[in-house]
Amino acid sequence: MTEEDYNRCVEKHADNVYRFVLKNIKDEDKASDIVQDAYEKMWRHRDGVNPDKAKSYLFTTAYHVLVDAVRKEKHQVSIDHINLSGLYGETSYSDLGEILHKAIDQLPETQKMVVMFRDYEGYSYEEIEQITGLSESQVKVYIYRARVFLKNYIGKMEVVV
Amino acid sequence: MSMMQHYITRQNYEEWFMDFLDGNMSPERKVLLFEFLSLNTDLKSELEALQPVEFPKPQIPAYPDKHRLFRTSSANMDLPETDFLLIKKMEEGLTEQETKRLAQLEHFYPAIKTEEQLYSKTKIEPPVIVYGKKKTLIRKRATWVWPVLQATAAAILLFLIIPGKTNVDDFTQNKDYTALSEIQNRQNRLNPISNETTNKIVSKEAINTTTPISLPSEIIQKTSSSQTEKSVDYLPPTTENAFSKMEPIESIATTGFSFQVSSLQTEAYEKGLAVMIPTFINNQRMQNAIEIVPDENAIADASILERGADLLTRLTQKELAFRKVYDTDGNVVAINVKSGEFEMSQRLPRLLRR
Repeated sequence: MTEEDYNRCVEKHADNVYRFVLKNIKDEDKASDIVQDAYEKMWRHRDGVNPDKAKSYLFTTAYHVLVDAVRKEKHQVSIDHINLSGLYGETSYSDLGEILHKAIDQLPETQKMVVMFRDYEGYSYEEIEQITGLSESQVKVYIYRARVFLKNYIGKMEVVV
Repeated sequence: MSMMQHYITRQNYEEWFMDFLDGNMSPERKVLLFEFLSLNTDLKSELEALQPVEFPKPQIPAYPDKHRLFRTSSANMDLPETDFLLIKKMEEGLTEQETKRLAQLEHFYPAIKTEEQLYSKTKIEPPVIVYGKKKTLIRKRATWVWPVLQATAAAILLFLIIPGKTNVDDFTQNKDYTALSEIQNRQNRLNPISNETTNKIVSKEAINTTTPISLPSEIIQKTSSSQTEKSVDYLPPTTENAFSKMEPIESIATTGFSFQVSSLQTEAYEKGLAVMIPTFINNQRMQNAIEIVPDENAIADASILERGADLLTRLTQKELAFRKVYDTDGNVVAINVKSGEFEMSQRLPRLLRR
């Protein structure tokens, strides 16, 4: 990977990586640090990075850092998470997007990340498998279960609204 | 059936009425019932009031989510068949067989259409989020570095090749007489006394004219000893030598100082030593500093930062201080390093602060 390839990656993918991390970690500073670290790592190993797979490389790096960070934080935010998990706690949604993003926050972390890879980035099962290290069937099951959950969530919210 | 039930009375007429209304009464008993009612007209009106009460025939309620109970082995996951087919239709597309099956299910269970609409809404639209620090990630090629490096290397080479006054001054200030005696021996080795060229090199006059060094008088006396001057006496005054035929290089004027380079470069060895000896002394001092073994107890208590700072202080002779910067929660957020007028703070990534 040349310097030009690297800088093209910054222009092309930095927003996407940041969005993915931010939606999972909900902390702008930490998300920024993870993005910086991911790009720093890619720069250091640029000789071994295929420019065509640079996006996957970035997301893979960010994903693994994110998983560690989420695991560390899990017990600290568990109370907040419980408070947010009530389906009927907030009924002032006027937009389906808001409802859906609220629903995504209720998903288990792995399902959430896998669905984001699928919908935000348009990755195939195989690409998600390479990034996450999960098997393809696991990826598929996570996505299908997430869809069922989201469908039920939207259905209930529409009834409430 | 008890004896009492064979005859209708005001005590058991309700049972007879229920049997009559349910259609479980034989014709003989019906005759007895009607006879009884003709005698008890008040009860006859009571029976007439009960007769219109007819319960609707019980209907088997349709289970609204029956379509959710169907399963398919091809799904290989814990999902109802309809959910599997609807999600697969959205995610990957269905086979011909699966399409037929879904159409069949939708025909019998119209509720599946509603679910299909809900599933179509589960596709998440990515929000527009822009990374504000993107510019910090851009790497720019430092095109100026290579020419600057080349120029610097050339300057250093020139500085080393052409000895300057500064180095010589250092040399004289150090008063390293051992080096001066080496110079004398070196000259004697290269230019034997019997060689006719020697008189031009080691004469007191030659030293004073070709070397713009203000050496202490005692050094000059040592280097221009009587022995070498005597050697001049053995040589015929008219003899020409190879060195005398060579034209001297023009004096080089540089900023701050000027000197004349002799065609023989007789002072090159001295000046070379003048350059090397301070470096040698400095290396020796650093070596001594490294060889100091700190107290074991101190090492055990000190952090790697403290030990590094101690070593650098010993090597550079400059006090190097560092301190940790904490936030209000007591987490280390940065490291601050200071030495003389130099000071630098490095913020730690958040993930490393715990």
